[in-house]
Amino acid sequence: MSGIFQRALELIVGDSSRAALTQIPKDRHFKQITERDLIRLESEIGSQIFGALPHGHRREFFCLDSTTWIWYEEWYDENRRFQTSTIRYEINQNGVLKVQEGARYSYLDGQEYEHFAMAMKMYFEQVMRRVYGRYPASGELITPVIA
Amino acid sequence: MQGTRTKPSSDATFSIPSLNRYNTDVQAAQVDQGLRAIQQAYSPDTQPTPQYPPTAAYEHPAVVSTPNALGVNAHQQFAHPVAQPQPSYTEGMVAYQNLNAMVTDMVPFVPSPEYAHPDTTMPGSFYAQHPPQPKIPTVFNDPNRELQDQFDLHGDVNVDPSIWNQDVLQAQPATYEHHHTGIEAPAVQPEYQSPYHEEEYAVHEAYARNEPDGVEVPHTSEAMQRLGEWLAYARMAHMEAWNADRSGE
Repeated sequence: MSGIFQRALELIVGDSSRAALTQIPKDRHFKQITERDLIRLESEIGSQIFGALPHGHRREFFCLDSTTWIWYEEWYDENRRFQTSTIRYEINQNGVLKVQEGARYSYLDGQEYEHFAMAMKMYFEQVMRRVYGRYPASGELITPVIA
Repeated sequence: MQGTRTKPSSDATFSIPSLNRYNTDVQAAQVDQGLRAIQQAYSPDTQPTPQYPPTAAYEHPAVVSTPNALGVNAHQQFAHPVAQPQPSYTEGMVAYQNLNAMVTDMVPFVPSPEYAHPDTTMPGSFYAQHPPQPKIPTVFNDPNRELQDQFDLHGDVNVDPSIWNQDVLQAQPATYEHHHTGIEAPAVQPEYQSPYHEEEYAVHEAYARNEPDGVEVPHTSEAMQRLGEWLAYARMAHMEAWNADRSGE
């Protein structure tokens, strides 16, 4: 019973554990910013570089650290059941390891590898310009420091 | 004792609000008031009657014959209002000067950072025009890189400025190596203890190996990792700058 109640509560107010990933606190302007805040901003861009989302879907795509990229997507299936999918891409010397739920591991190849590489470039270019105000090619600040 | 109020003491807690939205609204209201006074002072009703007759365009019959929902004909609606008592020229000038002083006071006003959106891409955002600058200067394409390498420095803002002793520097050959100079690397100030110092250097080196004329699509694992390193560096630099700005450094 408590499970049903919890599920109903999540449907109404949302899952706070998931919401924390995307909801930007309103008082963030008054506080010091954290790496997590910046990742949220990056993910706002990352979620859009793959085009429009189907109705009812939500997507996150961001660079977690220098070797890890995260794809997260949630939606309701045809039976109105909430579905999520989290994919972790780990970059190592052998390529890009795709880690899916259920202990499924595979290296990217072919078109999927090309798509991932292009997504990285698009993400990098837009995040560097729009979030950090730097030229992607040089890393210099777009507004130079005036001494 | 019911119904009795205690007179607040003179040192009752009251603080003048800082320059925030409240004050801005008050100032805006005062400006509006001043503007109205000026508009009244310089209203056409107080000006000499124009010598030229109105043109036919102002007497279009279609306009005159169309009453609006209130039953007022358009020509009546837009007709000159009946002249009302207006402030004198002196009163108008006083209002203008008051307004001018008020506006002058407001000129240096910039949005308080507390109300600025950190998203530097938002049009009109304070930080779009004044993005927080990292305390660590960029190391990319720095013309002083050779000099920095000699002293094993990657950001020099916190370094004792006395190290830039031109007499000493110019006395050295241009190509000498750091460990051959005998000049001791200057001490880094204690506050420059960024944990990202090494990462910054690594990114610098990584970037030096990359094509300088643009970001290529990363086809290799190494290139992909470099993109991630640059992102991590930009993220940390931005966070440090932002937080330093918040802490008033």
